[in-house]
Amino acid sequence: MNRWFTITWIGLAVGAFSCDNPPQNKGDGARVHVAIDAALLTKSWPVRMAANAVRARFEGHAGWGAVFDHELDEALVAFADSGDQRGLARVHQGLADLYRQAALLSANATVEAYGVDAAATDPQEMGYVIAVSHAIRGETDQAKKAFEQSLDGPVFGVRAKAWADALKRHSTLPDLETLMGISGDLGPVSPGTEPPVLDTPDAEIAERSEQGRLMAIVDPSRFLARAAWHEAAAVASAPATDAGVLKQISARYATSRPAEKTHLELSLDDGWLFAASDLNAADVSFIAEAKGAGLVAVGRWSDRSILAAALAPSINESKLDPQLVLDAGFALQKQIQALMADVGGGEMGFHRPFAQRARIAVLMAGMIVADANDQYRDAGILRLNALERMDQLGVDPVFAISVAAWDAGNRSPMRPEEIIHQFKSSYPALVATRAPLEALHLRRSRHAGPSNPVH
Amino acid sequence: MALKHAIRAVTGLAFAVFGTGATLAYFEESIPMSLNPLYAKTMADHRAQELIFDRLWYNDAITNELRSRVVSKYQIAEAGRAVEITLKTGIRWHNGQALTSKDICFTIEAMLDPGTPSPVAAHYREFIVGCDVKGPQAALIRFSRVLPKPRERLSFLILPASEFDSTAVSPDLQFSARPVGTGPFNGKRGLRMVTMDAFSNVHHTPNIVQMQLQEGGDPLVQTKTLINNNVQGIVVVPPPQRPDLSASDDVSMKSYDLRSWWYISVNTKRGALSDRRVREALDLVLNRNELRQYSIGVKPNDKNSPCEFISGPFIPASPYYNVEVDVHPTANLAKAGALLKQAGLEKLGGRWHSEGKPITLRVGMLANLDHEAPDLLSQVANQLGAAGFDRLTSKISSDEWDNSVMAGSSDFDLVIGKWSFGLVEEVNELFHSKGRQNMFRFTSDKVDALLAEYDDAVTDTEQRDAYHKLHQRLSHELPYLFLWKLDTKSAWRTEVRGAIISPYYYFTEIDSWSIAG
Repeated sequence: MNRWFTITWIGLAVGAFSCDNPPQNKGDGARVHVAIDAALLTKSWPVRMAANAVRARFEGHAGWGAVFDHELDEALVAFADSGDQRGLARVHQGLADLYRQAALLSANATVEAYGVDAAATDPQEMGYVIAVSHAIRGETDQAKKAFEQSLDGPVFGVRAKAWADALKRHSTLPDLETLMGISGDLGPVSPGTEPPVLDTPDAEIAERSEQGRLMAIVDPSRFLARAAWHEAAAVASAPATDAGVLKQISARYATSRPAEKTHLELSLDDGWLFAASDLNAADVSFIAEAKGAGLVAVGRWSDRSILAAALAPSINESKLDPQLVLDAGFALQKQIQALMADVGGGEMGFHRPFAQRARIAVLMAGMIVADANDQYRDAGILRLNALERMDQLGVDPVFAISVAAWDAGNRSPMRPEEIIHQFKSSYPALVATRAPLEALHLRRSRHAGPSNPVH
Repeated sequence: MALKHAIRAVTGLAFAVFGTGATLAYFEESIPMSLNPLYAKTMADHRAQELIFDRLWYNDAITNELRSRVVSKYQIAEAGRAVEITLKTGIRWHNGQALTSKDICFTIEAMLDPGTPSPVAAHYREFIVGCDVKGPQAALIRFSRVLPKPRERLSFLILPASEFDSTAVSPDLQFSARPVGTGPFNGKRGLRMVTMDAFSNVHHTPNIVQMQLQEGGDPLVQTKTLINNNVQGIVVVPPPQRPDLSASDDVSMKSYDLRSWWYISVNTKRGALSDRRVREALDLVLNRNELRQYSIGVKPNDKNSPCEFISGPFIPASPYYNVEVDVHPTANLAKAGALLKQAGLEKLGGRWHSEGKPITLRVGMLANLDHEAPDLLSQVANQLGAAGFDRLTSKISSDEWDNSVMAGSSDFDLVIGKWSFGLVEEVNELFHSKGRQNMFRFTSDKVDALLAEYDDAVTDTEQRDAYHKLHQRLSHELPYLFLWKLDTKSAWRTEVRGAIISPYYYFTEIDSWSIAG
């Protein structure tokens, strides 16, 4: 039985905790800096779902239980059986985000390991993989140049040509058909299924060394193809009225920074919000806009978006203060818990985990705004705090892989290795990200300061 | 009742030292053995030293960017065989003197001096050949070969020349207890505590007035003391305590990127244990599922367990881990018995005998590990007993560990321990016949050859393959019975703000830490 349903069905009142539980200190550790307008906060999914009637649709449904527990693999199976199209679309969109971030992870590790730390022994064919990686990172000019230099490669020459042609047609990443032409057919898009996983590398090429060991090479195009496949499955599953919603939702984990533009607030079914990192419909639009506009979006949306309203007081002299964002997240959690108690007629066991989701959502929103505001390190602080906070609730695999991708871009392989290890049994296609990550680890390790085993 | 007394005792100690709002008291795994960076042997040593000293270069805990707090500029010299550095001006040692290039060169000369028996220094000797003072703030560090990324290698902590009479630095100097650094805190070690007072400098502005490192005892007491706000942090929280702390809004659980794995080291020189079949039998006698469940609280089917079995000297997420070598979660007593008989042992009256005498295994465990894995020693002993071995158990103090076990002079048959690593996961020192950390002086030509293959590898593929083969070989020769990897989590009260924890080194970003209210 999944965690959420355990909590929900038991429905423990907080007062009924046994005396073995640790005493709760009533003093709030963090100073409460912000209180959201309660009228706005009552639109959040945690507060609304404190009411049994609103929550009933999601309770007892294996698919939504898996969504709450961040088990996309299990949710996919459950929704395929149940025929809940919106649920199915949401899961496919989640998997599309997951594999797009896996592509970025592979690309970042590839550029750092085989580009920045290139070794004279690396096979010539590595140039193609680096080219794909530049394309994924949005470094289109570098990608085009590198593809041109890879056209004659005996192993990846054909793929390089397909990529080069695609980038000539559009400067964006290729579509599903082109990607499958490059990295292999995933079969027709069939909602409710997962395409077959290739468990071998794309090539094994001898190193240019005396021993000439075979080096496993993974083309990151395979992750893009899988992401595009799931994206198509999401579109195919979603009700026709939700096409715009999918577009806005997908902005959160887009790998490229979008141009600054305004977004409209869309009408959202609860199926898009339940257990999501967006607390109300306006949050979806705010996040999509904040990816490009940063602080400006906070100003534009703080009267409608709960996340924008929570972040607004954390802005100091055109900067987002990460500590104030952390405080705002905690304050929001407390405020939501209080409102949930009002709505639900007393504190219930599920209130805290619901409200903790909101706390994490604030950190993730702050991270997006800080990134867009060129506060790279501050965004990193919020990113890592959000990941840590998830630890006790269940880690969102999409967010975790996005953190891994960010780490790899920082030349840091250890946390990504742990994250991939954690999720490889649920999402076997992720295993292929290990090859460049391992190379990054080994190359950094060779240049690192000496270190002894320590007890 | 005993627990209450223990809580009161710790609480009293904490209150006695926790007076000002800007004092931060925390529980460590153990009191550091040495505050001299050349003699760091435990993670508690490394973490404490990070508060007192500066490393020449370090990695930002968030962005991983390579930075220095003491170097203002640098340039590669002598075609890559040297790096010239210029130090920032105005940096003072805790004794008031100015940091100069003489201190950099002194640190290097101390590491190069054969009279400095430091395992830390030994590695630097492999690529640093000297240091020349080029001016009050400028120094040239010379290497034995061209180094592609020299700054990444120069992560040593800087020592003050003024505090030493000679470049031959021994471990028993007063400096090990009362060090002088340029770091954000000026520390001194007592018997039960290390106190560290803030030391403002041009390159450090600590927000905490005093840090108080206390030895963590009973994990339950540590947890209660933290929840009651009588200390502000616990560096290592054992898995059974994590749910209680996670349930509190006043405490934040923090990930600490440290690669740790647990083992039972086998004295391959003693009696029947010199027979590989006996070691394999011992490996098969262990029921790791039960050991883990009863000592760490993780059940066999727990998802995303912080504790995962291993079959070799790496954690499963490591590139060096060979996934083709199976772990043994459960015991196989029948096979173990067959192996012991093949090795010439006899089972008489339910006890295994060798050459007519009952086998008694002397089993030890580093004492402070009992906090992280309570009762592991007795659980292991129980399983050995149930399989027909007499055993004597004892907990090993840090001093005995250092002076006897690591010195290769202990008379233990089996020793339970834990090794921790950062980015570099080299295990050569543990298993090479001449390895400095080869505790029972295990020797194997095949293992030595694989370690040489690792050292001689030209590419990372060759290096990884060498360690995969090593993993396979060690699982055959069994100088260690490999147990598990265990994630490390810390807990800090939410009043502690800006608590960024650096991978491995922990307190690198202490300047960002503060205490609210």
